[in-house]
Amino acid sequence: MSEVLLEVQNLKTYFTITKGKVKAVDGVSFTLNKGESIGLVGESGCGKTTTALSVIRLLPKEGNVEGGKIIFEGNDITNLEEEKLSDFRWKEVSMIFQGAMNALNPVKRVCDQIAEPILLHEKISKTEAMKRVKELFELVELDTNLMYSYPHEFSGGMRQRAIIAMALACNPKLIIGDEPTTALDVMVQAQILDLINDLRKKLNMSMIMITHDLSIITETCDKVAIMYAGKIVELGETEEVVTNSLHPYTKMLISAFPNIYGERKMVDSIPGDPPDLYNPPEGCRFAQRCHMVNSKVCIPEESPPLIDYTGEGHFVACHLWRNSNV
Amino acid sequence: MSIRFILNRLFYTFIMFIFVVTLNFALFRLMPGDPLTMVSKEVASSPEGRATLEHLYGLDKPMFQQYIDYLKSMTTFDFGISFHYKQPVINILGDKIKNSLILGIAAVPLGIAIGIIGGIIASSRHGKKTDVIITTSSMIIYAIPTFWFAMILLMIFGVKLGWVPINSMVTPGANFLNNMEYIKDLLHHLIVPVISYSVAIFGSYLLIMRGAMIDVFTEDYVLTARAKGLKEKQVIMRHVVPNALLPISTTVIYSLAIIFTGAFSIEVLFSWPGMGKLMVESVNRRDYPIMQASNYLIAVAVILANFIMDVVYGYLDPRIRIG
Repeated sequence: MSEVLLEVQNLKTYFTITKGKVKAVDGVSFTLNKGESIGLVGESGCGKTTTALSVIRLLPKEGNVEGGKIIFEGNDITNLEEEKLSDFRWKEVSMIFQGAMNALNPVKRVCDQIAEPILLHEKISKTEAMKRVKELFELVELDTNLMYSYPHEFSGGMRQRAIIAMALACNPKLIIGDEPTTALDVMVQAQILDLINDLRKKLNMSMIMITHDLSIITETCDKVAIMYAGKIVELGETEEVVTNSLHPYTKMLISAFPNIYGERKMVDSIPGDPPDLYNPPEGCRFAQRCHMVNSKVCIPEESPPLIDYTGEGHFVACHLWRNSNV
Repeated sequence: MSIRFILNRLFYTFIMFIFVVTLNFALFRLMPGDPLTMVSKEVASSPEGRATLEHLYGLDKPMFQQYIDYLKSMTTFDFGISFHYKQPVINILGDKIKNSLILGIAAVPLGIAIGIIGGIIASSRHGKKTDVIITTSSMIIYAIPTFWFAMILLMIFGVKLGWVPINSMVTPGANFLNNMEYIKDLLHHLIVPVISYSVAIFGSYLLIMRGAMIDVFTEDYVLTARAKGLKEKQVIMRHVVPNALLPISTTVIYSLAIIFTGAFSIEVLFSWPGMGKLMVESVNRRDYPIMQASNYLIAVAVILANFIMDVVYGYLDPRIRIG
């Protein structure tokens, strides 16, 4: 059993709006071992980014962790003071943002932006920091002659590589990738994913990968957590979850992807919309869209707990499973 | 910053200059009225007298020749003789520009600095009490007419309390023993005009800066900066301010340009012998040479400011540097 790096226990992150509270993340738990990677998958607004931002404590000011615990290397960081947070961020946990968007400051040179966290967290000179930036450029396979360029002089793929270099700058133990390949074309996407995979293995880092694209998870993650409406509905080894999915939502999510070996047909979509998290429905939150719904158990009962029915680390939160097996 | 970029901007600046100067030439010739009658009613009433005057002022030459002569005199700063002062215009302008500069250099950068700093403070506390207080009060002050506000200041500090002199740049008729005495007297006269002037302009800077900052705060790279572990102050100073300065730089440089032209209401109100007051007086006296020369100088100042702004903007924003 390898060492646990991050433990998220029953995390509840709510956004305060004028009419009340939006329960963006409502009771999410998972653990991540050293060197392991987990994928958070789900549609827009299911709480995957909010979960990640809660871990690095970067929620917008309306957002608040209202319950649960985040334990990093045995220390509870849920209520870490602002002062200590500055030391924690980037040094322990860094983030890979969407590079095609505006994650790099347009008026600063790329090398300065990468050197910034190094100079902030380590007591080294500017020249040494620049030497590190050069090494990082080599690591992510960027031309070191371009170090002194500005972000607009880079292509989307190059910018994404620079952002990865920036995330690695302080040798963090955990990297959070927030849709790192969205908005890149598929060829570049594949290159960036390969790069992330290689570097993660080389540097033995843990990773949380956030995406709505299951195929990215199967390429990069050991474990996957399928999220729906602020809750994890299925959690387990990636291969196990994808090939042997238990939750109806996961099944529908997988059938929403085209199969290149199968018959050519329109992919299935999941009809309906996710529920309003300001006023989430009673019972299972997926019940309204579930084709297997059993109105006697799914709706009247409480929200189903995440339980490992097989005893092999494959968790699922579904009343139907509970009733058939317990 | 490439030489090509600067030459490119310089070329457009030159085109604009020619255009404005030509417009200035045409404008005064399209104006109704007879310049000769303006000079001397008696002489212009006889045909011989008219011919003499036309010859004297070069008005008998073909239009194109007049234009060339005009260009020549404009580029050599030869603006002719003032109707009112009976002196070369350039001699009068020199002094007045100097006086306007004294007031403007003391007041404009102060107003800009207050506005920008106020905007930074307000935006970094966006939606909180400090922001509401700063923004509302600066909007109210911005809405108050300058002359009214200046008059109130003058009434309180000049008339009621008698702390400051109520008009002109230095005490009229005073003999100063040395430069120190002169500067002391000048500074004493400067206080209220500078306060009124900077109060008049800081509001717009504050609102522009605040708006620009609030926009930049929502950018992804600000989130990146926070994720890096930078303190909020460092995030603001290193990442937000440099980007928020881009939209405001245009306004700043334009304001610096119009320092030359003086502040009309302030100068008139405080009897400050600068360009603003001179222009108002010249309009009343129909002193065409001075009006034309001032017009020309304003245009040149604005065009030059535009050029400087292009270059500075290219420096501030790497995306603008072309070629």
